[in-house]
Amino acid sequence: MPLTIYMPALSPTMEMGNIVKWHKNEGDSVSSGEVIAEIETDKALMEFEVADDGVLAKILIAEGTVDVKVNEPIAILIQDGESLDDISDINTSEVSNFEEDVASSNPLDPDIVKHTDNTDENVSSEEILVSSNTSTDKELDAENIRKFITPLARRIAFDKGIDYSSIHGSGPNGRIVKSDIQNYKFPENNQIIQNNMIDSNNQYIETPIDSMREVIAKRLQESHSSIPSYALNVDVSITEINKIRKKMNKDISNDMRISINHLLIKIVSLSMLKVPEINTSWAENKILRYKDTDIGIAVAIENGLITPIIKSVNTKGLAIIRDELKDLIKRSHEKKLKPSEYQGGTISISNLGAYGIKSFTSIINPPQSCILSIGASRKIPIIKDDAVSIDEVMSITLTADHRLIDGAVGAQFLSSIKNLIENPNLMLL
Amino acid sequence: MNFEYDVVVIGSGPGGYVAAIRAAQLGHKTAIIEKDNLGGICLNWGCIPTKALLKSSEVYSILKKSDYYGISAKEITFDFDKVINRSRDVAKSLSDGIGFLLKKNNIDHISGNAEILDVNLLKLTNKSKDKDISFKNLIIATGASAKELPNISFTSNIWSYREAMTPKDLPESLAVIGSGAIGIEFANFYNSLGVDVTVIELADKILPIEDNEISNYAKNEFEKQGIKFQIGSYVESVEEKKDGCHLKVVNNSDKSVSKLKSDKVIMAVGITGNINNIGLENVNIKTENGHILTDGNMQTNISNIYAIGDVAGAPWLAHKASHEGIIAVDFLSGLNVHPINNNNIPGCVYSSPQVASVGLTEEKAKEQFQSIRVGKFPLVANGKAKAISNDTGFVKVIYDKETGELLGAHMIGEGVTELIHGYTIAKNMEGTEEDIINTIFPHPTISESLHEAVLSAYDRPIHFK
Repeated sequence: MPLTIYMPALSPTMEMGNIVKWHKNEGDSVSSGEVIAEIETDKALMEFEVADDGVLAKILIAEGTVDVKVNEPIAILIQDGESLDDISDINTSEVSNFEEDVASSNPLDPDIVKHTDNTDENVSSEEILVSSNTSTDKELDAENIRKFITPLARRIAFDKGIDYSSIHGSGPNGRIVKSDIQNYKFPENNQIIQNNMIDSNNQYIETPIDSMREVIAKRLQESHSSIPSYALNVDVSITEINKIRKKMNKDISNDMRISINHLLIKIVSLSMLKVPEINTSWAENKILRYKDTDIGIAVAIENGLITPIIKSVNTKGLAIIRDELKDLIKRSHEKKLKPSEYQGGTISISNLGAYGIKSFTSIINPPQSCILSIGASRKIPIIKDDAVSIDEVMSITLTADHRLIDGAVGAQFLSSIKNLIENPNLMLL
Repeated sequence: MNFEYDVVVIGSGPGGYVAAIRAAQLGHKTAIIEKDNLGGICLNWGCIPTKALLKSSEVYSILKKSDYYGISAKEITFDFDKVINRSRDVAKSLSDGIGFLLKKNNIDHISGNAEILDVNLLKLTNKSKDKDISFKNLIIATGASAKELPNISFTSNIWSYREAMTPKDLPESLAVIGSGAIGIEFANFYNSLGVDVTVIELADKILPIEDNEISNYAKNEFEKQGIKFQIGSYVESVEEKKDGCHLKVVNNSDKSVSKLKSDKVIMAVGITGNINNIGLENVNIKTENGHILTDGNMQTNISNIYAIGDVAGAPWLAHKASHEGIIAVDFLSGLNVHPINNNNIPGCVYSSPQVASVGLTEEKAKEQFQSIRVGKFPLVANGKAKAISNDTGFVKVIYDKETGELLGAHMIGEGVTELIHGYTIAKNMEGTEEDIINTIFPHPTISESLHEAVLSAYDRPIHFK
């Protein structure tokens, strides 16, 4: 019996994946554990290993196809003594299912997109459209190609700027016909944009939304609208910690140096141990309090951001933290993090100091309880013993989930961080 | 509850027998009830036998001008009985063919009259005995009958299509009331055989549902052949005397009266659905203006009773009936169906020259669309039409200027009834002008005119300016 290979769920949150590359061709032999494809999930590019020996008889979803649903058949594996003909044995509901899905998924072939656009004189082959196509992205353009639609309906849709990717056609085999387009109602907010576009006659560049942007949008929207958060802000003197850092980094090559971030991670971990309410997650009807401190670091990468997590910081020294962070950042940029490396944690640290930002608040990254926003260090005059002197400070803002962390607890946590930064020798305690 | 049949069809015309075959195909236990010959009017008294007759008159006309093609044929005459008999033979053989198809599909062919008694029961009456038949679904395909004018009835001199198709003798003169497809086809047939034909039409043009240009062109051609027309006129009375029929023809605008005498009269003023004596009232099936009301799935107000074809309303076309039969059966079988768009039903007139059209006329298109594009191509500019000296006529297309939707196509000329499907496919698939422009048409054929007409609508014809 041929085996159907399904789109794997490579992470708990993964609903769809993109097939970036097939490492094997149809007809190639594969053995268990061999990498057959590269699959891009919501946040990472992953290698997909086959679990059985056999021959890759059929690739059902082409390389470059995006948004393939988890559990959708993507390939068929046959085993010794079986022939391609056996593929017909696969139960029909499954076959019809994937046929339908193939039709709605979308290989990204820019040439096809271009060609299609070119057939309509009113739309240029570039991505600049005068009409509004608000909702989605590359998924949309590509999906339009795979949707069955009559030439007339397609022309009217383009002329009116209607995204027909979500329209269910009423024609034969679900083909979209003229009346489907004529009966299409613009979603209300899109209508406004549509109108604005017409009013301003302003051309715009349409950029497709990739899966990372989609995840960012979805998660932050959810976080912002569902978590009752508040912010606490404190100025912290970094004069002392910088002194220590200088000593530590003396005669050490650049890539071995300990940065303020490494120290911060450690200090945050220590403070979490001290204020255990911080190291928690809201799980609807219960609160999860963790033993180890898993701390996320926001990393800006091309076209987005990701928050790799340093696990069990409480068990690690600065050198390990430094090495792990370096590796995580590198692989973040390469989009090669495993889901387990960026999921979970109870707190994140976001440092925009390098941009000269004085202080800011952030949006909590669920399931975490809070996030620390680190501003730029700056020198300020201070009065000590009736004398003016110079101090170097940075602003730290805690944005916390009030369901988990009450104001006083948040303040306690933030003052612990402040205390440790200003008195780094306390870290030894 | 168990029923004798899953599907019972009343009437075996092009709607009924097609519905029955489709039902059997889908595994339904099916019966078809017919009180007359299998095949209905279309096959026995309409579409088919008239085409047989028209072929005879066409051959006669061609032979008469054979010299033009360099062929000599002398003493060309015709045997009218043979002409009529051939037409009957064709109808008979096709009717027998339906019987064969029904048998092959294991459909019970029941002779007799059907009357609906209840939503799942009908009474069958025939010579031998009456019996009740229970059904799960019923398809009414009883067709239609020729309409009579208020004060004129069919007689041995005032013919319906039926008498017009089987006359004992060829009349010397003939008055045809109504210039729709049926009236024009008979006028053309009899005129070709040398009968003095006058057509009276109430509308201000012949072939009233066709595009104005087509109607005018056709009238001109038929007049060249010797047919006389009185348009904008109606027949108030027909007096049958020994020396023939005396018609009182009234001009509709000034009400002036003229007299017309002819041996025979053909009355072809439309048809009315056969809604009586089938028990519609027993289950309160809704009717309106002589036809049964249905929705797009051909369902009547009684959910397991369907009506298709002429009895379900205009346009009265066999191909519409067949298509509706399939819609009804597919729907009752739970399949996905697509209601008919009347603008995609082609209509044909098998006169010489022929007329074929689909969709809106230019006049209607102008009413319904802001701006249109019209393209025309005369057959005189088509190589094949020239080669066979059949260069009378033209092809006309109408597009929505905004979207490139093919709104209508109209053709007149020899063989155009065999060409209209090209535009019908394009229309049905919602192709735009580009799809036809990008299609390669075979050369040399008259079908190239379909291509050229579209090119012309977009100001780029090759063989005509």
